[in-house]
Amino acid sequence: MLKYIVKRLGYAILVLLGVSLIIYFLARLMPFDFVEQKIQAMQAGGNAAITPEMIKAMYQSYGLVEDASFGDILAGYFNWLGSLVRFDLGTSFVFKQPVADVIADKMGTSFIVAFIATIFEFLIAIPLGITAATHQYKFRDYMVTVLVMIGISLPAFFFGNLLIGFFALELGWFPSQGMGNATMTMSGIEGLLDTIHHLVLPITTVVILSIGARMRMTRTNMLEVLGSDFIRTARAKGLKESVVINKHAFRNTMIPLVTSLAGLLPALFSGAIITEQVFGLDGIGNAALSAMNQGDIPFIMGYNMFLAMLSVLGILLSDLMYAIVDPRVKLE
Amino acid sequence: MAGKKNRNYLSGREIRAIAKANKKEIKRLEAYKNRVAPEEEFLSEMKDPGNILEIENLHTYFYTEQGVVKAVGGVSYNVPKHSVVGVVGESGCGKSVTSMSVMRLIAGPTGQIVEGSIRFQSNDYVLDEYGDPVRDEEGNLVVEEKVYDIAKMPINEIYRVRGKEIAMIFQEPMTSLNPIFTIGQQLDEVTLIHVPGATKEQAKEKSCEMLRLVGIIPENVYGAYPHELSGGMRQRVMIAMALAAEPRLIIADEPTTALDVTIQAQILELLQDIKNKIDGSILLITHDLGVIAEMADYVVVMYAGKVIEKGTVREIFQDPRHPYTIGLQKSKPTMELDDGTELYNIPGNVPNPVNMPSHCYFKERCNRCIHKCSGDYPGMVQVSPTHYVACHLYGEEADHG
Repeated sequence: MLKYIVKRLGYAILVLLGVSLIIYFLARLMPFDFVEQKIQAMQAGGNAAITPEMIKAMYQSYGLVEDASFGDILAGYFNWLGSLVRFDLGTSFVFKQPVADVIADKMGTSFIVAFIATIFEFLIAIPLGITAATHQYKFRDYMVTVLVMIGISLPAFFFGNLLIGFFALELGWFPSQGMGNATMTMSGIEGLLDTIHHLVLPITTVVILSIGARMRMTRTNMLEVLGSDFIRTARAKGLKESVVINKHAFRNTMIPLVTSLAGLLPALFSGAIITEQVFGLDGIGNAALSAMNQGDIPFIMGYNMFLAMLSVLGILLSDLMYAIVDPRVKLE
Repeated sequence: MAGKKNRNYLSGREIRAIAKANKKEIKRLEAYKNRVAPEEEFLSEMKDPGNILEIENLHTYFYTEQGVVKAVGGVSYNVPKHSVVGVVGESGCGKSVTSMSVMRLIAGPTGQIVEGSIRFQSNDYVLDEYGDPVRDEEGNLVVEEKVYDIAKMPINEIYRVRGKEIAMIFQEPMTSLNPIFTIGQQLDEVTLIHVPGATKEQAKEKSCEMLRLVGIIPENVYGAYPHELSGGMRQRVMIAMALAAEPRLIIADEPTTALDVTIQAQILELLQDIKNKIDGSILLITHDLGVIAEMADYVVVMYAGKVIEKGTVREIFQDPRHPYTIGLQKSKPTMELDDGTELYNIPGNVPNPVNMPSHCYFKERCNRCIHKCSGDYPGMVQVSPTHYVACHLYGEEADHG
């Protein structure tokens, strides 16, 4: 088992190297760069006296080259890789702080939203999926399916604003924006409750939008399991229908669900870009979007490599989970 | 209707009419199945106390989108005590559906028992006024004999017999065990649910005893998962599982079909051996005449959802009467036919199960058709005290069903 994990981690480093190369080139090949945008902003601000020397100096200070050639980009990549080896992700152009600090700073909010939302997603979607499967083609199945379909089909910006419009503006139950009350400082329990109060609507949005896929997955798995021969054997033994479903069928249905749980690892940290925008949350998704818009190469690299690492770890974790929940799977 | 027979598609109107009719029937039958009823409603009497199971005029239908498939259309046969009854017939003749009806395992809401009775002489624990089982001075559970009509039982009462008094062995040993529980866990469950107050240790003891009975060393297999066993071993485990609750009737639904020939022989030997050891009967369903000849005391031949001939194994094999049974016997491969003659086969196909004709279902394939065959479906004719045949070629109709 240990040998297997070490081997997989070795492969993971190779995968991550490839991923970093691709992302770096894609980021550098964007039709604009950070310095160009900055100069345009300066010119628009009435600062006309920008000499070519100044431009060159600016490019140099950011470690970029104007009209970069393939060799320049490759050199830039190895430069980035060299600092990575020294555990230095560089300094973000936009946030003017070390990338690692920015990620650590913004991740908390996104993680809390995603983590709580995932818990609710599973708690709601799995029972719904099982009910739908055990009452296939009956009223309950159709009702659950239609409701979650509505959830899947709503775009985040629309549903988020709908919630704001109704619960924040119309009824005034929840605040519409931000993470905390800006008019006063609160601490301890009070501050925590205030944060929770602010997060109810964003979390609701994320949960409603993600429930559908998970519910459909549970329903499909459950139906497949319920049709299998060993379920017929369990019934023929004289087991009550509730035991057949909750013990024999449910454990088998859980196999793909538990393993998909590990695959969620990157999703927990990546941030919900649109939801964070709509609710004005200072999360990592929001930060990544503005970094991307402004060509912030160190942050784009740092953020994407962080996610790539989590993805690789998630896949490894889900393979390990398989071996734990399914006795038929042996790792070697 | 005249034009309908020649078409193999249905118009939208016909489909809607079928769906509407199905919905109404299913609703009625499901309500009957899920009702709460006092015991008196499904208590019955055996016609012959020598039988353990009496199936009478059983109709099991499937309400499909193409129409009602009468998978079992009026089947009657008995399983006497301490005997093996073999049911033969080709695929789709309703032999498995009949046995699934006995277990009430027909998948609803499409599949429904519509009519008929399934009388079963059962043992049941005597309950005191609190609903707890009564024990005698030595601490043994007190049992009493009751005859249940399984077809009339509400589905919530089926647990009195299912798995406990009637157990089933299935065709597919490879997939019939739950892959994520150990053999021990799956075997113990049977004792734990059917013996009131059984402890885990007692269950384990019983499971190991059953494994030894089917020729498995429990130490090697008790903690193993199903995927670690071969097909033959899994079928042995299935048999052990069926035996664990000490049932009075074991239904073996093609227990050897999925196994290779050497293992088939072992499993049949095991079943034969077990039949002698337990105080019960076996209902053996198969399409393999060789298996029937070796195992059965009585044979029931089914065709297109009806019993066409039944009798002792000697009568069916040495004096078959129905042209279908005769055809079946002729289509057995034998060692003597080594002169290059082609193996006999019965020409034609089974009629469409949605549109069964009113005359004998075998008429189109029969080589001994007489004028009367175009008339009504033939009734059962008694040709000897134990031998019945449903064919117009033989005598006056007896009043046996």
